[in-house]
Amino acid sequence: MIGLPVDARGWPLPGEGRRPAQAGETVADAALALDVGDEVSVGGQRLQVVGVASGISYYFGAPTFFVPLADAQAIAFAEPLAMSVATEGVPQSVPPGFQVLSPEQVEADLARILEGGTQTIGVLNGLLLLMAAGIIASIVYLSALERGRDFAVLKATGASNRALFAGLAAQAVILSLVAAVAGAVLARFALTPLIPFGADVTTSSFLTLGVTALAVGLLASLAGLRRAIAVDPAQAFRAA
Amino acid sequence: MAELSVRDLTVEYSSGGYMARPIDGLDLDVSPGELVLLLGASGSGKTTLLSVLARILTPKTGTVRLGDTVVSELEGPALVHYRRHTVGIVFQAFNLVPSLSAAENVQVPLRLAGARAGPARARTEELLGRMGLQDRMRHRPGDLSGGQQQRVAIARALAHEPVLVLADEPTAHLDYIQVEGVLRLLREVAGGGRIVVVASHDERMLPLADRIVELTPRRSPAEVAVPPRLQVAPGQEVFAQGDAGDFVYVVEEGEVDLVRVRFDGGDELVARMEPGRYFGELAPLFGLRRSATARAATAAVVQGLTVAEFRRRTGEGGVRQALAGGQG
Repeated sequence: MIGLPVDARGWPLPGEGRRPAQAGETVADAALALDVGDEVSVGGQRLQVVGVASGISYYFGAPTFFVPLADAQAIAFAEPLAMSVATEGVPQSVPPGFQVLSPEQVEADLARILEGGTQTIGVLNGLLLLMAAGIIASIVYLSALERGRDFAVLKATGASNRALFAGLAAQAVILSLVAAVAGAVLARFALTPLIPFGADVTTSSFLTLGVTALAVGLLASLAGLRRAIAVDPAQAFRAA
Repeated sequence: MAELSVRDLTVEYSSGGYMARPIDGLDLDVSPGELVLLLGASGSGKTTLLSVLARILTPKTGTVRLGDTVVSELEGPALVHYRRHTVGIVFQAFNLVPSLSAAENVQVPLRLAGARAGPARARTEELLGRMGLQDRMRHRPGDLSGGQQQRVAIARALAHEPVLVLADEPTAHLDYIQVEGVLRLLREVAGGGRIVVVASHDERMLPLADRIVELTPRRSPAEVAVPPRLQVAPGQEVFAQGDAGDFVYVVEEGEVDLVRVRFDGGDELVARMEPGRYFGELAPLFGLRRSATARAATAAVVQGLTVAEFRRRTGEGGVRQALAGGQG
């Protein structure tokens, strides 16, 4: 629950309804599946939902209520207390016991709570990348296994190992890049809306994905190249 | 145009751990414009000789020379250059790359030889047009008949204008109408001053050849007519692994060992033949080379028999017994 003065900045923009104009009203998180006009009880206080907003979940999906400050103080502290004060401009001096934080410092402080989740995402990311690399390497290797006779014919015709590597690398890199583009399109347009909290795939992530795909493709083609080099061109003379 | 010269060529390789020598001391000279037919049964060394001429296989001894190039000594970039520019190969069973169209298959050696895309395309269209395949250029091998695939394979072998064209069983897998077309094409290829070497066991190809090289081991009628009676000292050979199979032998006195020469150099005892036992039946019966060496274990006397005499003495049971347990 987040309490704000009714006329202060920081209220979410409701997708439905409006922001509160007086005490006893609230903007609810869409994740709570409430409608405008519903009544809810929070900490024994009756609140009427006047707006529903998306993208205001905290910590990977914890739903929130935005309520007028007085209601929040009554529910949480039973007295007029505040945990933080937002200011326009930088205060020159603050009362004893207060600390001034810049917006970046506030962001970093909030991110500290998300550290565990972020690390989990990083580990998952790494594991998925390893799986993708393994799958692409397997496809390239299996395709090289199937094409032993083709390699033999190409070698007998004068194809060097470098030429074979170029062909295999092109196949693996194209495969990786197509997979990366498909993944990016899915992430951007198909999967993000299904995630129950705000998820943003950054441009740098897409760039990293492209470079990684290129590297994975080249590494995967080495698996196929090993097989291609081992093929004896004399195989081309054997009957099918 | 270059002449092809093969001198004292011997090829050995490992066959299941044992030493096989399909070609032993071969000499051959071929002039430009000649079509040579390598004739022989399966396993007689036809494909092996083609592999040596393509410098895919290295001979144990001997030299292969094409003009000024000593083919049998080529290595590294010179070998790659030889394969890319000098030799064209029509493989058995066509061996076209199934994922490429007919035109792309023909373009492979051209692009490897360094041709640019435009000229490579033009050359491909010209060749496939000459082969009567102008409307099949974009088809993949799986969508072409056997005869069409063989024509694509020949076009691929000729694309980079090699001076030496090697064809391995080019009429296998084809019906008689398709065979006629392929024969005409091969004759036409040699007409351009190239050397064409064709390996086949198809005797329909005989009239096509300027020269025939018989690779199935045979002895002259005079040799065959007189089976020898041999007295051999301990360690002396009656015949050696890889020899032509001429006679069946029967042990009259002493003992004879049949040993196989392993590729790594050692000998492996296969059987010890005592008086009354026949050995060396399979090679003369089936026109094969000896698969083992017969060496006297003690002082021995062995009598050679013609196949006819062996059959007369043993009946059909002798042949069946030879197949069940006989050696070379």
